[in-house]
Amino acid sequence: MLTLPDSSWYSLNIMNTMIFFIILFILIPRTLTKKNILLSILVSIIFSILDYHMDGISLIAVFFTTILFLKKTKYSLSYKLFYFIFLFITNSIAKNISYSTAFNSFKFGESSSSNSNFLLPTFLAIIINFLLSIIATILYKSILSKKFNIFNFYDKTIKTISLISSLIILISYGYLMLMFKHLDLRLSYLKTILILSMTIIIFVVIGTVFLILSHLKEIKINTEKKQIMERNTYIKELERKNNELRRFKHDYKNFLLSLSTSLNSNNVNNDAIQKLLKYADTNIDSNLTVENSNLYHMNDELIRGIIITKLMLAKDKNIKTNFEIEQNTSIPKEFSVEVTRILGILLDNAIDACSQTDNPELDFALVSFDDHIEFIVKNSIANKSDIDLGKIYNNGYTTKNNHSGLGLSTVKKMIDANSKMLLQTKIDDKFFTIILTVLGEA
Amino acid sequence: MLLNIVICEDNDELRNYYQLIIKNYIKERPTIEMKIILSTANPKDVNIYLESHSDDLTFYLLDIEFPDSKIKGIDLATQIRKCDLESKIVFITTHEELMTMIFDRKVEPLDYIAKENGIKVIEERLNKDLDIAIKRLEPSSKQAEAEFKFYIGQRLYKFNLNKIDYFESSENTHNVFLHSENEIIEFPSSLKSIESQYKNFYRAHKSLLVNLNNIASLDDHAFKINFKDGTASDISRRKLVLLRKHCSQQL
Repeated sequence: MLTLPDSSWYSLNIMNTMIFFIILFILIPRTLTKKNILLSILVSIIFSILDYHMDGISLIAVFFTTILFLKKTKYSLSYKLFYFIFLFITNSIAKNISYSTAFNSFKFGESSSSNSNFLLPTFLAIIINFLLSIIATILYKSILSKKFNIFNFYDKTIKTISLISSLIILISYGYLMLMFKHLDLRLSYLKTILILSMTIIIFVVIGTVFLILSHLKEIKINTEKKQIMERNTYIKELERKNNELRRFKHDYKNFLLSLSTSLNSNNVNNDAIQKLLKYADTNIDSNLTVENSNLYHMNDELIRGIIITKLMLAKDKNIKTNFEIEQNTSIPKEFSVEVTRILGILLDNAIDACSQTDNPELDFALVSFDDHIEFIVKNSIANKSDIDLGKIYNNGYTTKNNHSGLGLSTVKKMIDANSKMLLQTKIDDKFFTIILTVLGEA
Repeated sequence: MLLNIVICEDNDELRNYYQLIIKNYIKERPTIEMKIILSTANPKDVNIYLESHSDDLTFYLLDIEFPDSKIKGIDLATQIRKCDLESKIVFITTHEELMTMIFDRKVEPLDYIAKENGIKVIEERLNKDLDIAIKRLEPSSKQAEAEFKFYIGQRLYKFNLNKIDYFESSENTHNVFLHSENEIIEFPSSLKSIESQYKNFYRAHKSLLVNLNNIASLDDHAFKINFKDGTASDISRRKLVLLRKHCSQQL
């Protein structure tokens, strides 16, 4: 019923596809490169014109271009899909709203016989479409960064929920589109279906949001529980240190007292003093182990949590530990989830490996350099020849009984996916050392 | 070659004592050129020395805590390492200040001497460390050619070139893995730039650069390169043939 000229439809289609790419660039700034911009303009022009004659080809082209753009980002496939669906839905809703408002306000289809007044509604439609899309994207982005921060990207359940619900919306949307296009139904009937589907979509969205919110709450409670546990272990550690200090003080006083008595008695016999010195050497010094307190000053809670947990685990297993944390180390926030996962695996492996040795020892250090930081995990090993350095990162390689050998291969995968994380592995006669390097901003 | 000795210790008595030990050591060895060039309580003096003498081979004897100064021994040593990879650093300290792993990684000190072990032990250890420093004086200049140099961040590392079996490039990132018998090290680089700098390496595969000197045998059945130290690396059948051809040409 609309009698817009072809050229107007072409420009509308082209602009619409371009808006799709623009909101993609806004949503994921990393995709904004010269090559991508050129490619997106090219795809918009060619396929939008083709789409006018071959229905749906533009959608397919846009889909593959989006996947191509997202290829270099480290998002998983489900997240790429989710992004595409989000972009597509935002884009088409904005498109339909803008077109209908623009054309309705100019009463197209009834009185348009002159060619001069199609420019204005076309222009208006493009502007409204553009504004709506951008507002929706910015809104989504701000909500994402404020409320859900890191959880949203790494939690499996939330990922699945959002993917499934967006798929449902996409399918129902596509179904509606098909109905409109291919079935010649009466307007009132269509309106009923439209309202019905919109209600379903709204319910799905509300349901999803509530599901995600409750899941987030659960995660929050869990982290709080963990923090309380950490605090408890910290307090225990302090108590232990306090006891040690008291004992030291006691010994020291005794030591001074006997020294003064031997001085007072004017006995220049060296034997007594020698004895005392020996006593001091064996008793005072060896008992006083000062654990590095910098551990509790670390700025990254996730990483601190995993280190404290594993330190306590090692202590429970009577492993001799030496944890060194350099002061004022700043860990790049964007890596903290990955680093936590990797450290968890490495420390677990180290604890398992060294508890099989006669003198189990686990050392950990966080070293900071000018432009990078290093996490060092070092454990004692039973026999050097048991470990094949060339194979330890292979899937399924393990030196442990009843073990899948997946840990280190997972670490390797994460390292390989990120050029800012480096791994060094070293074996000598008594120790196995892994160093994880995280490069800062270049 | 001259060995300069620098002492930095805030306790005057102890510093004089170290000086005495070292002077005795020098007196006993009249043929070796070495001298105490700086003995100070102030770590800033060491920084000033560093600016003018970064090329000289130096033996540093450092305390870890300087209560009167904001500079810490570890920072001072890091500073020294940045200017000078060859110098020898010995820490002399009380036990509880020590964080050996961090120190090892950042400055690779020659030794740690614990103060509480008594003066006698300090003297023994100090003499031993000076012996090592003198021994390492000579060959280090000759070995310079056989070292592989790479950077992690801005920090320079060296690795014995003869111990490297092969380099492998990472699939997704611009990093390279160095493989030797006991170590695998990942660092940002490319096989192409390594290949152009070090002549004994052959690009056996798109992602594989092998040290021809270290190949022990080529396994035609399992498609493997066996290296002299027992390490092995997989290779495709086609590339194995090419590598064999290349090796026979070299001989």
